[in-house]
Amino acid sequence: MMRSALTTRVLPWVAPLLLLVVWEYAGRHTTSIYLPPASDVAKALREDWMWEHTTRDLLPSLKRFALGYLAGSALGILVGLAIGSSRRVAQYTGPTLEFLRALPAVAVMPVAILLFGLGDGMRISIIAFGVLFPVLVNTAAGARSCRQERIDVAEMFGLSRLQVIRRVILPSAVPMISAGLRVGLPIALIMMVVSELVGGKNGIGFYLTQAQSLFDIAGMFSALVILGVLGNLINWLYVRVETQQLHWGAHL
Amino acid sequence: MTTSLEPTQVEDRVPARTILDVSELRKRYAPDRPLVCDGLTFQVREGEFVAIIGPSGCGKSTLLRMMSGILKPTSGTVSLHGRTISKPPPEMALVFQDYTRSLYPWLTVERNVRFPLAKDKSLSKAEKAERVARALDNVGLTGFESYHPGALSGGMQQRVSIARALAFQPQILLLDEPFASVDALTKEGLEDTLLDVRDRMQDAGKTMLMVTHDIDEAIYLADRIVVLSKPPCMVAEELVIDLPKPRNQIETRSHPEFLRIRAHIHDVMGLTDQRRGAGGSPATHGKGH
Ligand SMILES: Nc1ncnc2c1ncn2[C@@H]1O[C@H](COP(=O)(O)OP(=O)(O)O)[C@@H](O)[C@H]1O
Ligand SMILES: [Mg+2]
Repeated sequence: MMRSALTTRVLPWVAPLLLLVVWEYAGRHTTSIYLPPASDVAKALREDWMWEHTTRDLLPSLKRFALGYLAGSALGILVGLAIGSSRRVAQYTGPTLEFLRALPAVAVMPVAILLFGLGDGMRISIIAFGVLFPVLVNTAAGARSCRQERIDVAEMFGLSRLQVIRRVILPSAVPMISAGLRVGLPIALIMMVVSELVGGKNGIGFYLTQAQSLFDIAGMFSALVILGVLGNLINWLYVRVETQQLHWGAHL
Repeated sequence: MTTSLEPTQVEDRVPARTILDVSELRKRYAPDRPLVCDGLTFQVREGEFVAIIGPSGCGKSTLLRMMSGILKPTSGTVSLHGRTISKPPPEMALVFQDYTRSLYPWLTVERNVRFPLAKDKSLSKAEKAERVARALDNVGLTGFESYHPGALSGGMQQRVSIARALAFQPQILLLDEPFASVDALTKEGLEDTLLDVRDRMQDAGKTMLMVTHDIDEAIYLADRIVVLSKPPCMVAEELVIDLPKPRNQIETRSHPEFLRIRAHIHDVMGLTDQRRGAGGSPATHGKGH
């Protein structure tokens, strides 16, 4: 009992700690400037991210992330519902969406720059574009899988088409929408960094380019650590909210 | 006691006025699919409990979906108070065959039952709450308001879906094999719940039309039985059930009249097949052409 608790608690930490030790050792003994020891990165984390660059770069990044993610999700849910609850809309839009969906979001960036310039509008729309399709496709599939009986019940009680979509099809699709929203999170994070690599004045992506051009390798690594922590934190938060809200999903 | 099984005498025995008129109803789901309903004609009178029985797959659910206005007939009409139904009328509610598919798993029992009232702006919040509470009380589910349907037994879920229809306060309640997927004991309880509900309802909902493939259940509950033929279905026979009320699971089911009617229906359903096979006979009272 004691031992199993100990092993499940302790074992997962062995690999990362070992990695840190090896990294520190290798960093100290290599002549290459491209591998700073872990302690240098820790120092950069303390000096840069407590709290100067957190306010100057991390917060603007998070703002773009949130706006882009919300815009892309909202649009994806709306269009997905329309497509999933009407066979006609699905037929009209199907091929176009298949085409757009196949485009890598990163490749759309030059177009976005032409359309929106180099400001935040471009960055937010790129993030939204990346999130849009996973959410849209999942929402449409979820809406399509809504059982006919559920729709019949609502129509029998006199609900209008819009009310049926809002009160029956949307809640039926929630587990699928939620899966799409979750897939969208890391994509939004990637698009956030990528969109900040060009023409920016701040943001984590901008910090990365700055550190790279100044050969501040420890700084670069510190930004990667921040991104890793951020990605995990966002996912953890999302799972928490999801399990709280979707307790009925098992009965679907 | 004399019970006539002749459909011509049905008119004399039930003086109430016709509330639902099903006339020459036909349904074909697609041009390349076979006919499901082939010229169904019958009436439902105010305050009656009508049972419709027919073999599985003969088109009973299809009939109810057309009667409740959610499915368009290929030809023929259903009229309510003399007006042809083209969309689901507010005077009618249907309890679906499969409660696992027709209840909303993301809503609590209370919110499922309140669902049909949500868009009714003429009711205050308190009035809605009161209707929901009464509907739940009618089916014996007081205390389960905050449960989700998935946490209840099959019989209880079916009672939730009956309560939901009752909260809507329809003049006519349509039920599609409501007790087909619950065990025999629960089923008897639910049958009596239904009779109780009917006796207790004051203004609305006295008229009930229930589809079943269980002959005994039909005789036990109904004032009148409409027997459907094998698919494509037509009315094979209509008969009045004159068993004494209030009905009781033990006494009613062992009443000599009960047994006689039951034997007769078995006969009709069996004979109907042979006669259809032989090209029809004037002895059946099919209303098809
Ligand atoms: N939505 C539908 N589309 C096509 N065919 C259907 C549909 N619903 C029912 N049917 C067909 O109609 C026939 C009668 O079905 P149904 O009305 O459910 O019978 P019952 O309720 O008497 O068992 C069956 O052959 C069934 O396959
Ligand atoms: Mg059926």
